[in-house]
Amino acid sequence: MVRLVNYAALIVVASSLAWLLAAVTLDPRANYAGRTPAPAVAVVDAALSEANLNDKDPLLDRYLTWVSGMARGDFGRTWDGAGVGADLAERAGVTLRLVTAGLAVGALLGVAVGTLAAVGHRGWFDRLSGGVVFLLLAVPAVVLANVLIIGAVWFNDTTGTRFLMVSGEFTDGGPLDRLRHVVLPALTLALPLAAIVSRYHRSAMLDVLNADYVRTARAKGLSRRKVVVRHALRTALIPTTTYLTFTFGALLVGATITETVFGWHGLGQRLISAIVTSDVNTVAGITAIAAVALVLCAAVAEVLQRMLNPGRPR
Amino acid sequence: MIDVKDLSVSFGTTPAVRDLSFSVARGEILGLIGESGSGKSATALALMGLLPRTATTSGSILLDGEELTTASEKRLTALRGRAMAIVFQDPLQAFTPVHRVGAQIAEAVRAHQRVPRRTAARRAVELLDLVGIRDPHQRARSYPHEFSGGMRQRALIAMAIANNPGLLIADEPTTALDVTVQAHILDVLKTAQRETGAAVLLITHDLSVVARAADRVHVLKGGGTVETGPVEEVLRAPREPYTRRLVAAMEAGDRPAAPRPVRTVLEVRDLVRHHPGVKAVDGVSFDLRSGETLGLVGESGSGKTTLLMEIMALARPQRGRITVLGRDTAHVSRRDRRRIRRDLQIVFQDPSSSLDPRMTVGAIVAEPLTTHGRSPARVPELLAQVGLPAEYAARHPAHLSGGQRQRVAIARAVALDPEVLVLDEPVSALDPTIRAEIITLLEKLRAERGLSYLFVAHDLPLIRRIADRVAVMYRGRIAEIGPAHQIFAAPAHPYTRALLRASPLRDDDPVIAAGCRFRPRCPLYAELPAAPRSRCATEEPEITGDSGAACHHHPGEAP
Repeated sequence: MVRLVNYAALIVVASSLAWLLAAVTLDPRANYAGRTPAPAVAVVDAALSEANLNDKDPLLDRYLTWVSGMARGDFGRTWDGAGVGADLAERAGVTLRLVTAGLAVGALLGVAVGTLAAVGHRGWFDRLSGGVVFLLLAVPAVVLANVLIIGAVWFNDTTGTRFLMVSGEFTDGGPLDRLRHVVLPALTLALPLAAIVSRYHRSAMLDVLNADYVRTARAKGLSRRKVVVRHALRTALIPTTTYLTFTFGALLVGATITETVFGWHGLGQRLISAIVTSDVNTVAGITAIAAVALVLCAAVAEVLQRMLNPGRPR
Repeated sequence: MIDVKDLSVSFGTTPAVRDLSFSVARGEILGLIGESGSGKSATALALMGLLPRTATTSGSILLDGEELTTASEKRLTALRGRAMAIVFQDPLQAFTPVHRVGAQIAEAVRAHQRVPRRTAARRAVELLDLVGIRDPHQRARSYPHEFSGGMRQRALIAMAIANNPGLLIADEPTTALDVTVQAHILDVLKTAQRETGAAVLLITHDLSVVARAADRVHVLKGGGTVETGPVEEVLRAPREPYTRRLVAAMEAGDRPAAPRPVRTVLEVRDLVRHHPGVKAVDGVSFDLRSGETLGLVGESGSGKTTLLMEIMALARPQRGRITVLGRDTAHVSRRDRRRIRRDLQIVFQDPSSSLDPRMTVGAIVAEPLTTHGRSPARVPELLAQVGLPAEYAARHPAHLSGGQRQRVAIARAVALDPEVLVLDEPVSALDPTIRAEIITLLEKLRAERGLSYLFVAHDLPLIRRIADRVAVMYRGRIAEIGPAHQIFAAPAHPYTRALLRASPLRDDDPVIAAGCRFRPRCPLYAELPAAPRSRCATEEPEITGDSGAACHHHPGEAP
């Protein structure tokens, strides 16, 4: 209960600070500056006030208007009068699908690679995967995305199909169609994530593989594979899961480059464009969504920890 | 059953076991005794085929006629847990924390027997029952952290005998446990041995464990055999000097009785420290006089460490009063507290974690001096006093042995010429012969400097040797306190008696809300008629007079 109140307070404070920062530093009026003929000042003021963006209105009044709107679920308007809420809802869905796919693939790949690397500690797979991880982390997302696109084009050309799609979320909306679109952006997110997760999970596994209970499990006469999966992997997943859960929250607004390259109209992309057009309400709205997401992730992490780790002191 | 010939194990170029030969027959218990580094555990792992890949093995291990050193991993996997099983030392770490105890035992059953899950689960409950776990149905569904140390050790034994192995290896099965619980575990181990008829290899550094449980003993030193023979014979007339030292370390004489000094240096009155849900210290009173040593004994969880930390905090306690060198800790200024700290120093149990690994020995010993504005010029002199060469000042703790590290910790503690030294299990992490050296050092320092010791230990012969007075703690209270010779010669409290005789006591008894807290385990209470019993159930016994036992029915007390 106390935790719920804390979470709620955290969301309110984070969103308010984001709004405040955006309201003070962004200048929506600049959107009208380059127009010919220049619109009358009164007209601009009226339009800006209509969207609660007029820097001539007192800051506190604007803030109260925004907060009371948010409390009713109204995210406000952009400078040109479009509703923020509906736009963000749609984009949140897009990002959620993208990030879920990327995280699922990244987590599975990372955990698998990390486990195998730890089991063959200092063996060829450990060294190889370590090198590939280093490479992946050194390559910027935009380069990785383009390399994947080149690879996909080559794949399509050699197979003579148009299986892998490089732009947009769907064409006709069928499940296979969506899959064809999601492969490349999901991989762009998943590969660097898997790289980090594999290292993270590898060290968690190494800790666990030397634990006495792993030795006990072997002494029972379990096969090596059963020992690794049931005793070592299962325990090492505890810290890895926490890492993954929070990464999910961070990715929701952090997949900007992937979204932009592959033409997925998601939150990260919108955040950047909103800053360019000085849409205070959109920036604050996205931050609020990110805050809620992060808090949800914390709650999910908590639940997962309880499930995975019955012995944890509360 | 098992026949080991000329077994040698080495890690890289370091030999761990050298030309070791022994055999254990079905139904026999062989004690393998030696200090850390003597190759005991490497031997156990070699038998199980669980040595790390970096180890090289030569010689022969025949289990029921089958050669193990050349057996394939697949064959070893089939043998492990079925033909041979092992009980490891640290029961806290030996169970996977995220699986239920019952499931882990059932897993051992199903590793070798093609039985349905339900049958295996039922067998797990039976096994828990066999090793004396109360309420085994319920307990099978518990997680390892919900078990006490003794219960975990019993559960480990249950798991080891799940498939009726021919050879049962117990590697330091009681080291992490309290004396009374140790005795109980050894009984359980014997029961398990009787049930399975297995050959048992009992590995330990504790001669009393061998004396209690083994038929024959095999003494190891530096990877090789020193002496071997039937237990009574070796203990009665050890031939080798090394064995003689081990036996001598087990037996210790009393300290001569002397009148108590007059000046009180530390006084604790009705001290209370409750953590949420745990009454860690629950009304403790004692005093320590100048030049005196008070031995504090009690099982883990009895509140010894909490008591020490309350004293060392030099702050206002939750309830009660602590007076150090005449100053009530509830009413001292920051400056006075600093001054008292100079006179009240502590030595911890594990010198490998109580010394900063990044500091040199010289810097560690100099730190208290410079902190209190004194010159570090005394460091070589202090090192000499604890028996370390002056050039050790430049070394790091990692390059010292355990005993040498503890010497550094002692030098650090006495650097400021304190009056009172608090010693929290200062030798329990050390091997028996090293232990004796450190105790001799502490006795020398006490005689030279007139130090007062508050000495916590669970090793009773040790307390008998070093302490003038003894306080026995039980679940947050002092069960009995008095002069050492009196406590050891004529213990009044039933708990003290159980401790001294190492009588088996279980460690999974319920916590008592009212009346005597020792009641559920008390052998005396079990035999009492109903009328005097009721007093135990309703009234918390207090210590009466200057020395005595907190028991309604001890011999000095009218029934």
